Amino acid sequence: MPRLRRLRFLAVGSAIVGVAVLCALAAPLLAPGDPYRQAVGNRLLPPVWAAGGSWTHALGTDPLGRDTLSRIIYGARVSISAGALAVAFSMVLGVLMGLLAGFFRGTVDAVVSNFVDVMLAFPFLLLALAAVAALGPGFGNMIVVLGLTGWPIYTRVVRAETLKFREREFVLAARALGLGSARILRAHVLPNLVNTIIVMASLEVARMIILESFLSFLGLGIQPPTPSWGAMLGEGRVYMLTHWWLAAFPGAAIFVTTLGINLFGDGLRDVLDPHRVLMQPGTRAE
Amino acid sequence: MWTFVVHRLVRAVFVCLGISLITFTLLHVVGDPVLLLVPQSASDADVRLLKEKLGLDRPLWAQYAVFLRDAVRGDFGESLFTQESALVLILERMPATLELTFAGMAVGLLIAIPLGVVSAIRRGSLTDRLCTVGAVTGQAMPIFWLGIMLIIVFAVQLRVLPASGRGTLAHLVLPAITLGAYLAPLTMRLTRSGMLDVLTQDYIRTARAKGVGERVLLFKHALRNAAIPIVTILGVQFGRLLGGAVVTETVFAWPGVASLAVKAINTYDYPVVQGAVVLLAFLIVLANLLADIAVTWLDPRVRLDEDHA
Repeated sequence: MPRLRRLRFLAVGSAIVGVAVLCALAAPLLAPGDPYRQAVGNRLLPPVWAAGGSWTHALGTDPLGRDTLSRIIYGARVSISAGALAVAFSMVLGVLMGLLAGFFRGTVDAVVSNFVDVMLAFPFLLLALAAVAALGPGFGNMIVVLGLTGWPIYTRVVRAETLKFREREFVLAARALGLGSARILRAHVLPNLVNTIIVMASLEVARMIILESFLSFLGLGIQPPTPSWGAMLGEGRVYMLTHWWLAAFPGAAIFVTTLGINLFGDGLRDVLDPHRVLMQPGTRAE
Repeated sequence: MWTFVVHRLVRAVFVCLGISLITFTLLHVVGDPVLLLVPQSASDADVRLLKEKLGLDRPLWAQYAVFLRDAVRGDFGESLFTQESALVLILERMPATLELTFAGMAVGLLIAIPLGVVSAIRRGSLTDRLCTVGAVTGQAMPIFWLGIMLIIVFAVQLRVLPASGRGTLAHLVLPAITLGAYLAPLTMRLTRSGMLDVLTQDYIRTARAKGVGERVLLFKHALRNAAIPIVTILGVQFGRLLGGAVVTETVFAWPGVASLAVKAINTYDYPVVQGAVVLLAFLIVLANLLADIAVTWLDPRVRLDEDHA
């Protein structure tokens, strides 16, 4: 694909991600109202363009009379932070295992690689569901579960790349100079993998946000009354026969955000990683 | 060829063992089933009694050994609530899950493969660009939202299709589209890049140079070779598809294994959860194994390499 168009993707993606992050950081300034304030008199108001809608509640209100727009803006906090934290967790774990497996090979590699194979054969969602059910719902547990289930994808790529780099002259030279393994990995191998890892991680944020939303949608993630897109979609689903917008808007927020992140990640890949040595996307069970 | 198949089989058995171990660890070490089963007011003696009854007072390795022994015989225990065999409960729902999975796969492939091939042939054209934009958009779509939107439009507003349940062909339409839409974008992109790889090969150029017609070139020379990456993708995608089925079944109240598992997770019916997770994972392993074997059959290079290795 022409490079220019890729850059356009990157620009659009950055803009969307920028707005989402801004919503998360400055929610109290941007939100028109209090996302927690209930008002029984204002229950289930329609959005502004429908009959009975008003600008006071531009996207209407939920069954407890809370302002939908404000809840969506505040919901960015949960999605963005869950996505970022889950990715940070799984990335550190996955990269570490990949470096060790690729660099030391032998038994370490056999153990790690087989473990990765098992993890990748797992229906990821069921695994995450079972783990959340075992640990109990909540933000912290959800991050742990997403982190513990998301690492193998990094390990697989980092291991393959490390295997290549460990035979390169500059690594052999470093070893000949007497540098320890930890130093070689940190100073000579890892810096060469940073671009690959950044691109992978940025695309993983989108996947983690969708997973977080789904867990919250099922009631296994963020607990009420904290506004989260997934939980709002779950609540809205009950009313889909009569008040479709309750499910439509939070879902649209998830969709637009993940689209922005994917565009951003795809664009980033072109800028940072011209030879596209990346993994084939989606080569794992979800 | 046979060394290869045996090698893969051994590997598959190993992966299945690993899966059972992880599932068991999650449900028995991370979580404590008994504490969730008894009311908070239960005395320590009651808790102990229940543990003994369920065999949960024995050392973990012994519990795992029993679990493994029974699992090999197809015995995953009984549902803690209905006292029915977990395996029977799961198998009863397996046809629904398979029906949905294959329908979703059919929809996904019918969209993805023709579009992928066309965009590879007309690389850079408007069609190609539209397909790429469609694929990028589709990949970002949370399918539980897509499913709900489809219900709102086709079941609630237009009233042309049922919103949930299983029975007639009409019930299958919306879930199959939802699942197909989950599968299609990635498959399309992978088909496109697989096809592009083939189209830039020397033998295609040679064939074209000696005057082979475009149609023959495409169907006989290119597509046949592009089938290899596509089959590999299918095996790998089966896992994603089952994951998508978890979501789709929940949204459409489709009576399959995945919705059974989600229900069992909510009630902490661990024998059912255990059985469903393990059996679904086995299915994925089986699909990957079949794809591997199919690829060796399609591509003599793989089997020759393996035999010499």
